[in-house]
Amino acid sequence: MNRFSALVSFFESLFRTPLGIAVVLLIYMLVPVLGRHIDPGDYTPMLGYSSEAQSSRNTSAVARLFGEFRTSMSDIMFLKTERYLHSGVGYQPHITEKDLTGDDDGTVSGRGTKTLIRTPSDDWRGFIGHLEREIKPWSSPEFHMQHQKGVELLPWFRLMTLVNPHRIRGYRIGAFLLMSSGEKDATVKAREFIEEGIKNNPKSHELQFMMVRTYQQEISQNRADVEGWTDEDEVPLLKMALVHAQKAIELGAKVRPEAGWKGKGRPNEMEDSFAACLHYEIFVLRRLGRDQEALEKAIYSKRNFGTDPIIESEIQELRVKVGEAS
Amino acid sequence: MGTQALQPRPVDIGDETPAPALVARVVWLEIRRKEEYLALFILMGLYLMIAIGARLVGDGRDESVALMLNMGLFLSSSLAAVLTLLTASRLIPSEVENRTLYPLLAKPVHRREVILGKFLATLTAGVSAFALFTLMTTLTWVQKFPIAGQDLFMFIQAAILQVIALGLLASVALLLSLVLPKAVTILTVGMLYFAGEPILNVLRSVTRDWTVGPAVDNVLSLIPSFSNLTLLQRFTDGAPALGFGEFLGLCLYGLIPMLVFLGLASHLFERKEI
Repeated sequence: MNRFSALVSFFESLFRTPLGIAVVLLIYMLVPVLGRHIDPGDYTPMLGYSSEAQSSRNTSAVARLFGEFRTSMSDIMFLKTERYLHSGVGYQPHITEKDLTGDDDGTVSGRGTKTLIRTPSDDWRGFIGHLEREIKPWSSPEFHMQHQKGVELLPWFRLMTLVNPHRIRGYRIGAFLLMSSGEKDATVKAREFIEEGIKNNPKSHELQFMMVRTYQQEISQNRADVEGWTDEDEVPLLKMALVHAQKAIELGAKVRPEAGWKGKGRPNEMEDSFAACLHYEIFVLRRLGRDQEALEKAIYSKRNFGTDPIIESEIQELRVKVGEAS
Repeated sequence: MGTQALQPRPVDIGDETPAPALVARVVWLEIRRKEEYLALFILMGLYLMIAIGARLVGDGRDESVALMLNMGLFLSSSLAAVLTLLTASRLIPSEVENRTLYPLLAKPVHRREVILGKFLATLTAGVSAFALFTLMTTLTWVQKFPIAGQDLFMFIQAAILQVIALGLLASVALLLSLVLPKAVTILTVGMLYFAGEPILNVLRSVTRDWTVGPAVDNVLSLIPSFSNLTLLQRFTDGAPALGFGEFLGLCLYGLIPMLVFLGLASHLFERKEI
């Protein structure tokens, strides 16, 4: 205790002179330095984040009861996006990028997804259940659930990522919504959003993958909209897409389990992004006319990360093509 | 005549117990008398009742246990933080209001020893509550602790950093209680502890594109972020333990401001006119 007392006494004495205050400030400057270089919140959770784990947990009444308390501000906002999208009707969580793209009439319909408030046939609460259905937003899951395009949710995703800059899913879905908003500079805005995500999560391969998708989107849009658009015009965009695909592979390979990320939900999204980048790398190299390199990459992917029908067919096609060329 | 000259000079009264420890002992007695602190124990007790109930009905799946463990550890650290915050924020203002500080200062103790004693009492109260609640939580799930995938070393690191976080919380609350009203101190420090990181993140993002954005960012980074020190969720999520350098860096990240704030609090208290 005496030593601690002496230490506090030393700090107290420093405040008595301008020189001492300068010393304290210098010592205190270590705080932002340490804060900037160490980020213990930047990690990939290994437990309980897959859909299977969530399903298993949701069959436990106690865990379900307590699960409500566990949500952080960012989680609450993610849940809010769904509630908002469904005009206040609470459905069991199911948001995906595909769900959010919308039909041609600007609405999205889904059938069979269970509502959080039970249906009359499934509700043992009688009058109480009836009252809840009357006073809270509810519609039968047997009918189409109608809601507007996901683009209306963008402010929620913006806020979600402001509150928690490590919320990769928020960046992913937010960027996807931006990209598919139909605005003129949609891909530019989406790219800016992902760039912010990459700055906050430099080790995320999923965000690199989203960058690849923005370039792919830009190419598709330009092909449709820009008159006289040629393959040559695509080269700079393809080169940028290649850089991000290769970066994603490099980052993903460092943390990917040997057998890949297993399980539905988040693990599936991580694995899909990684596999897609392996494919994109090969496609882009082919489009750039670098077939030999594409073949080498495809063989490397097969050896190190396993194979799939796309890689197999690419290897076959490229072998023929490279063989013919030589 | 400076304030320093007015301070009573310590005299040898034959008791070997250091003055801060004597002050701390008095604070501890006061903490034990406060009935409102029982509310924290009742809250923790409620969690334990439900957790033990879940165990008795045989809900032992890894996913459920991980969630319940996470809840228990979150409650342990949060309730300990609430206890630390309430105690540290109210000690000196209450003593000034009740005029019980005068007899204390009339005794042969330095003012900095009073601050140190109050800090130690607050910290030990918070750490004891944290240790007790954590022990009860882990004992409830002892057969599954740690679950496969969770790193026990990460748990130890998180517990040590949580203790430092409580120390930092106590020092900030003590310091602000010397210059702000009680309620404002509790709200400010409480917000900093429980929601500091999201608030700082929002401020950073909002000002990023402004001309003064980098300056704002530098100023904000001077405010210690408690979320860097409260890592029990990192353990329950199954993340690996921190490297030695990272862990040491985080210890310093908490300890340096704690000592600086304590020194500043002592300095302000020495000069405070009561």
